[in-house]
Amino acid sequence: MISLAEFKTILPEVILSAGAILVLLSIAVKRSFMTSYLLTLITFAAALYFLTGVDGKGEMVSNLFVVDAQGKFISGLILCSSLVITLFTYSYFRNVKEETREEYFVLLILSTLGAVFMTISDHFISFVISLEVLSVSLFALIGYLRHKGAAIEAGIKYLILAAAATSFILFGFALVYMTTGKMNLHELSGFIGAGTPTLAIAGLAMVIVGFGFKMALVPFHFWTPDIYAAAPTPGAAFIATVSKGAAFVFLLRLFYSIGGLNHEGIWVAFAVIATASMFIGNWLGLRQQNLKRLFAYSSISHLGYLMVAFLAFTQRGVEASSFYLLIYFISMLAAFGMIIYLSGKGNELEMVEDYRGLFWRKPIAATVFTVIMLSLAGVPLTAGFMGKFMVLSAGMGAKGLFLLFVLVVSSTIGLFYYLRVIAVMLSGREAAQASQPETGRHSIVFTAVMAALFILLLWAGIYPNAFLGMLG
Amino acid sequence: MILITLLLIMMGGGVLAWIAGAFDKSLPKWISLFALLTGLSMMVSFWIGSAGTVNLTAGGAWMVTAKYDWIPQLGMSFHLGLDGISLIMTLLTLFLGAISVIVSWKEERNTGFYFFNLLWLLAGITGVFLALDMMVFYFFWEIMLIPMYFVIAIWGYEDRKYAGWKFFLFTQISGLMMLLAIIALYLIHGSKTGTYTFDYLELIKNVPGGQAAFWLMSGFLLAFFVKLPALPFHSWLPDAYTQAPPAGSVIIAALMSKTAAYGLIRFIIPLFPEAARAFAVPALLIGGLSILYGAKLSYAQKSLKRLIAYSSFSHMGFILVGVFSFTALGLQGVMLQMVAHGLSIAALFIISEFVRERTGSFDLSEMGGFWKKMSNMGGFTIVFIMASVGLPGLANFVAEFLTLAGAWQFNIPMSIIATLGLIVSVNYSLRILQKVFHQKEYTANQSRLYDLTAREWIVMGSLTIAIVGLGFFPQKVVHTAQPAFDKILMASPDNNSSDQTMNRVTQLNTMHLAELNKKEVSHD
Repeated sequence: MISLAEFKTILPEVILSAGAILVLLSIAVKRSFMTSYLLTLITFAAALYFLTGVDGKGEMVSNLFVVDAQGKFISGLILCSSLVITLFTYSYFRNVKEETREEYFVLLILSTLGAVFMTISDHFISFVISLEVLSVSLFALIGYLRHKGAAIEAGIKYLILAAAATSFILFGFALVYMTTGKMNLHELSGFIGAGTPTLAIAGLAMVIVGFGFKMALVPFHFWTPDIYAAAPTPGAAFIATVSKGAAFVFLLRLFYSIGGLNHEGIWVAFAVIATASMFIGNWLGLRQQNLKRLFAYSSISHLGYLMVAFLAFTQRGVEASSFYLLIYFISMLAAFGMIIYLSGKGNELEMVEDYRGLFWRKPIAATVFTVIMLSLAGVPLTAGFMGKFMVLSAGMGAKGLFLLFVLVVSSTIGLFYYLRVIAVMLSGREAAQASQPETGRHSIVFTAVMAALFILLLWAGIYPNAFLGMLG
Repeated sequence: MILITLLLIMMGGGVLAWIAGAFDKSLPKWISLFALLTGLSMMVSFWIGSAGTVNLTAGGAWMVTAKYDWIPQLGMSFHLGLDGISLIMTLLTLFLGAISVIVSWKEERNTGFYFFNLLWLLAGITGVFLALDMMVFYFFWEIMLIPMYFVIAIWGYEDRKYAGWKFFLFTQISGLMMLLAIIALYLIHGSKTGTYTFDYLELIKNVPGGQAAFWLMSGFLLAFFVKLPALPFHSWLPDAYTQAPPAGSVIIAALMSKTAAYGLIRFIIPLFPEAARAFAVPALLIGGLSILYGAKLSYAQKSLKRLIAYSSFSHMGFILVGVFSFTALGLQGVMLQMVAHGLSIAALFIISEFVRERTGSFDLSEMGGFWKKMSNMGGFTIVFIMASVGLPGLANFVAEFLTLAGAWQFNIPMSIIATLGLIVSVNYSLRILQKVFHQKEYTANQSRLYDLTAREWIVMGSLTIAIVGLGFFPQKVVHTAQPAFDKILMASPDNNSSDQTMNRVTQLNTMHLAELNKKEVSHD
């Protein structure tokens, strides 16, 4: 049994579980898109509210969870993102009438629950269970648009790969358990040293493979573009942000606590993965014509940058990676939000070409989009630059210097495709006036969310004190 | 306060112009012109008011500074400072900014956004001249890029997209290398002294030495060499300079390249005194070769604008020669060169635009015999061609002479190479005059040729007054910038051993300079 104090600590997660059931029940009583939407919003808001009451000083909940500063911060970030994605979902599904739309919210709450549990997991078992809660909801989330063949294909693709990844992780955990007899992270603390058995290292290598799939790091990235393109856009935003972020936090907790990066082989393996992700992610995006696929490659490279902070293996690295996740979440959400915002009924603007001449048709929307692109590219005055700055300064050191150069060079390569999107928006003034594709009409709430994300991007880029303060 | 006000006027003016552009097409240009002239008059009255009050203080030769908290957690503060060098450069920026607004007076495509970009570009350049915090410097350094990219990519000529990309990528990657160097500098300084700060005035008190200094300097140098541009990093230049709209070419050649020159003086010499001296001979060689190679390329061009672009590249070589001679004479030469070259290259680019407005192309082979119809324009062209050649009486002569005299004191063979540049510059400069205004008759469409309009008279007239005035009274600039240069040269720690001799050399140089100025005036 857990005590009342412990119960209070995981109250946000409890509320999420209750919220999922509540939405299900409401659907059983009467199917209403609006009701499920509002209930979902309330659930996330309530969870966020109770999260602020949690201390986050490393309280243990039974043996399975630990709520430390980083866990709390990322949980809050995930809840906020899910809240934003809920708003996206509403706008997105207003245009999609063919499906039963209400269950989407249940899946969203459940996958968020898995993600939040993952960020505070301190035990192999709790991690694997939360991973499965997340993954199983995601299969359905990705394949939600049943009438689209590609969506089903993407769902199955994700199902198979995620199952493979989970089994890799499980096998790895089993090997570690076999050699140490422990599954608790704080008990395993610092067990990597001179005399670590090879079997445990082999286990960790398998864990790395599993996480590579989850976070779409090169060479485990092949699923990403397909799934981003086929999933409903809010779902893609969820995969790009929440699911990757949660996996990263546990990876960081695991390897920092066991001191895994002290092992030369593991460090090199991660460095190779990070280098490959940065280069390949930026490289493959170059000729990409589909905007959602472009974001997929962009996210691969961003996770590569994040690994640079991870590889610093210092407290600075932890702070930098939390900050980078925050920035990355805002940028990615804004990017996907923009696609939803500009897409009209039945015609999703997913090709880069669809945005030709946007600057002359909708100057404000195009300006916002430009800032988002510049933020993803990491240009100063936008949030992306501050994130990159934190990563660079965390990674500065004799060992990681090579990675910093890779980061700089590869991000310049990536700049090409972000600039290409901007250039397309700027060009074709004559064509823009001739044909005006129908673009979506949206509620004031959605417009306000996009405006808020835009302001956050600039705020964090120019005066990030408040955000840095949140890291503690 | 004046510094913040200056930046706010430009940035606020830009936003206002953008908003106003939605209501009226011609409002933005008036707003921009008004903002820039306000800033200019503010700085001129400050200059007049401060004459003679400039003193060397412990912190440097700062006339006015402003410091605000920005991101204390990371040791960044919004620290601005103005000394003689920055003052002159700020004046130049505002003056040429106003000129470029007048040059783009007839711009009709999306004027609001155009003038927004123009003003933010100028604000970025001004910020670079004022920044006293490495991160503030870096921010302004990068703020210049995006508006410039837009100006090239939207309002440029046929190949604008390609030119915009090339420009952005070159400057971005070199800028990021500088960022790495800045962060490393910050961490090295922090671990040595315990205070983690990006403040320039703190950082120069405790500069890194040895191998580290060399690598850090390389990061900075890369950014400056690309922006200047210096020899192996110039391939973006012809595209960007040629494809940019007239105001864009003026700003990029006359002002943006000066930010790199300013960076060399402000950061390379004080922060890496030993490493910079060790690198002097290669740097002088790069400078000398840039002069000659640029001149050769310039001579070979068929397009008028490309010819001018390469001539700019060639002249920037003198800046390297002057900076890496480490003498007061050389640095003063650089100071004057920055202003004089800014004025003359701006005028030449504007003339090329005037010609294009009339004939519709930059192709030299289609031109000729314009003197008959456009003698006023021809007259102004002669003035600026002579300036570019380096004829006494015009500012460029003083600048190049001082630079070469400074280089002579430091390294004679290199200064000889650089001096050859003066000879070859005559070739390509006179070629403009001959090809455009004389030689064969222009047969295509005589009726399209007309002499300068009132607006064009204003532009060319004010530029001519500036460059002739500077040629006659260079000591105004020299005098303003002198304390700052003294401080920079004195701050070099390798003078500690021979402090007195070095001071004497500086004094001698200063005296020499004063004498020279006197002669100059009496001669003219």
